[in-house]
Amino acid sequence: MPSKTTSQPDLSPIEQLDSAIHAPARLMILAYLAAVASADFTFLLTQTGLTRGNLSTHISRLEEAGYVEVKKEFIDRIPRTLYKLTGSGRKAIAQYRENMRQVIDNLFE
Amino acid sequence: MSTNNTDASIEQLKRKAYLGYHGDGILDLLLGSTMLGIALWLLLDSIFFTFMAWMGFILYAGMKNSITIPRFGYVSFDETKTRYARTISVGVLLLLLSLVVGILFFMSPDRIPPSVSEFLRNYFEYMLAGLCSLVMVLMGALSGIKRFTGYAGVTIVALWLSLQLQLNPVTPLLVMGSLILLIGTTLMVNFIRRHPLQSSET
Repeated sequence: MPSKTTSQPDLSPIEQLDSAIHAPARLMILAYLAAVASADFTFLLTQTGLTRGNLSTHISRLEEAGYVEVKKEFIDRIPRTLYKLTGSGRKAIAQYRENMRQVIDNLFE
Repeated sequence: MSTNNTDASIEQLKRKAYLGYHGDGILDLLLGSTMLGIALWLLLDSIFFTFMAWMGFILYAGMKNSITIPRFGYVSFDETKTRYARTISVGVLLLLLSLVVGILFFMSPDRIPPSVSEFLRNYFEYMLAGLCSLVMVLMGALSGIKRFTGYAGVTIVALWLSLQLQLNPVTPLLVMGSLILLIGTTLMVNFIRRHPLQSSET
């Protein structure tokens, strides 16, 4: 039994975790987009292993949050829909990383 | 979960994506057909094979669009893409230059000083093979795909062996072109097996 004098771990950083990022599928999508300049739907589909429907839903959620930008471009005269990580997406990942570090430090130190 | 570790992981992810995107063997097919085209042109003295040497460069974008992108997806790597394009351009320019020099030499040998003419006559094929090796070293160093550096090393060894054994000087180009073409075909077959065709984009 822990004694009453033992201090409680500070779990407030958990509340600050960004729910738009804190889902394995969305984190995976963001990781791939952070690694490349831009990618199309098929690339994200083959790399993440998600189903089409799932991927589409998660990308929409990230787009709503302003973390992913959708661009239509002609590459080699072929129109392509490309997904790109935005500046706020990059900042959100850095913030999420910091919050997760604090959560883990407070819980398991 | 340090920043350095995270950056290294993102870098690994980028490398994995990059190698996956270029794991289709198209670059190998392009290089192999160029070397084989040059070798057959020198061996059979037929202008048709110079077209074979350049065909790969013309077909590259089309092959990428019809084989790689529908299976693997399209991905842009920023500076690596620019580096890669620059490498290919350097390779094309070097080979073009060598072909122009070769054609001029064969068409008008009288205009070249006899000592240079004799040197070119004796070592032209070796120079071309050496040039191909240089292009492969450049491709390996700038694209980060290590097998190109390996191809260059084996080509140099083949050149040396051909000199030692006094074989036909076209032999190293012929052997290496066929070998690279075979490796490219194997890579492409494996790529197509690993990455089935995805239905149209959402």
